[in-house]
Amino acid sequence: MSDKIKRVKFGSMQPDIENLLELTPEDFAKASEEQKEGFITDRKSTSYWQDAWRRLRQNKVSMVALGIIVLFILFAFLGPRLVPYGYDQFIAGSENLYPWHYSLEDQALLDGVSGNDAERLETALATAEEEKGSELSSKEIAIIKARIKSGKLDIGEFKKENGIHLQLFGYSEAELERIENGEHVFPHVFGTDKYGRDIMVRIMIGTRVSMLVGICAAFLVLLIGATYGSISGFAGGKVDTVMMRVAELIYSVPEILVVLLISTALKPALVAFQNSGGGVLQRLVGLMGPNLISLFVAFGLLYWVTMARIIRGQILQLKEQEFVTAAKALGANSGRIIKKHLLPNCIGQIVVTTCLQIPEAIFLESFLSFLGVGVSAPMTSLGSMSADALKGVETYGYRLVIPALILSIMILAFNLFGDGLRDALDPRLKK
Amino acid sequence: MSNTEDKKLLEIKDLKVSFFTPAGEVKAVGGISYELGYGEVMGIVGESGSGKSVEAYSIMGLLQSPGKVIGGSITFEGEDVLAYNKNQLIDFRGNKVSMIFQNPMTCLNPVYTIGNQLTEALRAHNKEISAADANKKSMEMLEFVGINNVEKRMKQFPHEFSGGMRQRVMIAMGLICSPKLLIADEPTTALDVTIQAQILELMKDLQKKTRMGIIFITHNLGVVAEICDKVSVMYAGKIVEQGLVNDIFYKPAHPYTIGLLRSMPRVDADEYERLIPIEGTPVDMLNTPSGCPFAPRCEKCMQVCLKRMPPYVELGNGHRSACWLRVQEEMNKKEEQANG
Amino acid sequence: MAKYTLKRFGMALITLFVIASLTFLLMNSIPGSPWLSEKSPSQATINALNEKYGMDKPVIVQLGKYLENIVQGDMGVSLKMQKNRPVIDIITEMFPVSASIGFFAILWATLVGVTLGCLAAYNRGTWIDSLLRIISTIGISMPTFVVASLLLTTFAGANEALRIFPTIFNSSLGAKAYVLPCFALGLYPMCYTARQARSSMLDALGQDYIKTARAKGLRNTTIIFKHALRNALIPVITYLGPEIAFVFCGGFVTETVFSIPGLGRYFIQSILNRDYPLIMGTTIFLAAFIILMNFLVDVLYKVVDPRINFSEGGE
Repeated sequence: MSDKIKRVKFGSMQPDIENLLELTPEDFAKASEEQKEGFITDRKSTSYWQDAWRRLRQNKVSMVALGIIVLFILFAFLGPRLVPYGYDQFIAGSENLYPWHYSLEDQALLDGVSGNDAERLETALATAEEEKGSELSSKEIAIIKARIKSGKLDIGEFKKENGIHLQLFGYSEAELERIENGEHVFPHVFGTDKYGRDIMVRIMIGTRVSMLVGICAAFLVLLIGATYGSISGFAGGKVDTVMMRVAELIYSVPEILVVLLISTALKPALVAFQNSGGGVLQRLVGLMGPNLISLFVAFGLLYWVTMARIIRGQILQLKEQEFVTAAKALGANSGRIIKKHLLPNCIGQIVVTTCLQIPEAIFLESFLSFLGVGVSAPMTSLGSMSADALKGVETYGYRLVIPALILSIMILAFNLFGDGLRDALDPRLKK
Repeated sequence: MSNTEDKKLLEIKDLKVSFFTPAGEVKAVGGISYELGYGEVMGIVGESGSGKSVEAYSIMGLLQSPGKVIGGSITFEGEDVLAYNKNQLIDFRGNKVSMIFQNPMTCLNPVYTIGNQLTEALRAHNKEISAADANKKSMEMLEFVGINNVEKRMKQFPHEFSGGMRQRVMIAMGLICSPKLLIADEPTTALDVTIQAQILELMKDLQKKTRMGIIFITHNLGVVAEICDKVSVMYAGKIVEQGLVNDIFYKPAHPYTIGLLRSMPRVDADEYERLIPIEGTPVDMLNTPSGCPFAPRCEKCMQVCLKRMPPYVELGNGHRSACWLRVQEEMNKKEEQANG
Repeated sequence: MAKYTLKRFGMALITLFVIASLTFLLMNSIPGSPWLSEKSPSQATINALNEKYGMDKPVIVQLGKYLENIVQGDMGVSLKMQKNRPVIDIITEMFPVSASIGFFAILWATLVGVTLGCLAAYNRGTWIDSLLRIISTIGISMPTFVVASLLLTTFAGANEALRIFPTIFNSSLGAKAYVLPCFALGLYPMCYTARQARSSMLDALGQDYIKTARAKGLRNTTIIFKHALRNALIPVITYLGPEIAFVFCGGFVTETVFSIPGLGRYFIQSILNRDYPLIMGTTIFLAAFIILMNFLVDVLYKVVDPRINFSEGGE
């Protein structure tokens, strides 16, 4: 085989031609089936869920958000066990503590330079004499007098000069003394309110309430919405039209107004019920408070429409697919088809929508609590804490900022995670 | 100065297009070449994923990231299309070369009237034309493609047109600036068979009247037989066989082409003829193998097919095939000549 | 078009009827009557109330009478907040402030939101996109009261230098007084709109008709502003309805925080004070307003998207 094969003009196969001369008869022998199959290197097949999980893991933002959510769960549910203060415990002597404090020595120094002119003059003279070690001359006294008179001592300067700085966490003087005596006192990390209640514990409880409300409300919406939507979508035709019209009607109702309305209307009835006995149900009602119950009622009545629409849309799409026709041909009844074939394919959407419903519920609960129509005392929520803090915001700004920020971060984390879930479960939607 | 007949309308040389996805480089087009003269109709045949649409998009400069042309040249009337800047491309598209797409149901903007979209196509390339003239020309174009009641139709929205009519509108939009080349990317695939036939007739008719070149992309060999002068058969991003339409149909020289022809149901077939499909599945373009991509599905696969890519073998008249069988035949022929 | 509008109007009326009835029935379920303030009213009072509201008749009749009164503009009188002042007067006095703040909030939220969203879509994948996404996600995670409270703390706080905007509302201060409340109120809708606009813009840009437009040789600006934008705005308009409802209900919070003498704050106070006629009247009024706005949005939606005409059985 020494002859050349005619070179071709369009040379997309150029590299091979040079080697043509090395062809042997064996090369032209037929290839076996095994060889042909080995030729193809299949990509490892992954299931839908593995794929989604991989995508989710790669999404750093969502993973961080998930981490934050876990932290919050620990904070809200384990936290109160670690902190020795009760959320409703009035701690005498520890009222109105800021989340920071001065050490005892620094405090003493500061006390020395605070107060009115006469006091300060006295203190300044005493300190100067101490430093000098002997009696002050009248000139020195005059200088000090003038300095005091000429204006307030610059506290900032004073602090810097004496190395006075704020220490983390709030302690009352009494507590600081106990620490000096060797006792271990748990700090008031976020300070205390005007009754001496530790704010951090209250925030933990508040977070717990907000989260529970959010999750329960979301599940309620899921249950009602998914059922309604799948029935409507699967039934199709007139039933579907009617059901969707009803849903549309419900959707156009301004929800917040209805929540407020329901809570107002239900309050007397619930209070009466609560007082009617000491059973479990009554206690539960008492614990939650009429507003919270109304919130759930309103959620159950109004908020499921979006979920229902999404599920219905999915079902309508899936219904047309052939595996459903196949199932029908094999004799499956409607309930079974919905349960075994349609809903599992909707799980992605269900999970995402539910996850995104949680921050919405938390949002609503905090909104209502802030207005005073949410959780009732003594139970606390982040919203009601913020509302209470509003009055004294100029002096005690931290009491507003801390719950507000924690609430926002929690909602943010759920939103980010929900977004990430959505991206992972339906890559086509990835933006 | 050479006259128009010598200059080629379109010349594609060793075009390579890849998509740089997060999963890796997908070599959608692995070096294809063909030429088109004025008034010629070239059919590009292949399965989904063969790269036929991708190369058409490259001609129009419509390739979007992560796709990139990584090699080869596209020359239109002597000009290098790949070197066009933005303004040149805008002048080029819709004006010198037009493209119509597969799915007429979604290719028209639902919120604007047909008239609006048609005149827009015209005025984008003819800035001086008046609104009235543009309107007139648009209506003429609609009649040209076989639409009745043009006055009424101009004011209607796309959802008021059927699929076939929308495709006619697309064709009208494509032709309104009298381009020299029309690229039709599976224009009949989404339509009913009867409408398909109508659109094909229309296109044949228009082509005869306007003498424009057409690149007709399809997976349907029947359609190719109707309208094309030349055919390029693509598989896995490469052209495996190329030639005049009669050669391809009556003297197919590549197992893939043969397979395609065999798998077509024929009206004039014998009573109980079996449809013979091509076994196997298309290639995974992320891991293109080193030999002939069709090898695992080829019943005549040889050892060398699994190892190396076959070169083109010229079979006369512009008919060429990339297959080791043909190489083998050539080598045998040369041997006989040498010995005999 | 007319058929569609009529249908939508009919729906609006039905919804309003449902809300009014619901309100009435709920308030009526409370022991005692919503119209009685004292525990033992005089006989004359009882007679007058019976005459007007049919309190001795079955509930359905009462409902009918109540609705009849409403249609004539009579919502009863306030029992606790402003004794014996007609509810309708209270509402018409306090609503304009809420409406004006709400209007400006929606205005800036929509304009800025759409602009930012389109900007992000156009610059997809760049730092502009990431930044805008971060801001908008944070924005929708902050309940209105958080934003309002934080603004209050910042601008009314210890730092004198920051006291640029008034934190207690005083309409005589002109535009300055509106800045903080409108910002707080509009932040969530702005961010939501931005996210919505971004996603619908990206969606529109990925459609086949954009491919056609590029193949036609149209300029980039034409493609974006003519072809993509109009389609992208459709879902944004859809959001306008819920946005309006949100703004007016969110107004309860901003009015509380910034001490604005508006209907929202008053409404909350009436709930806390259990002034039932006022509660009922305000609920129905606000609901009617929101439903009306939704109706107008529906009409607007149809103007922008010609397909709706078709699907409602127009042609």
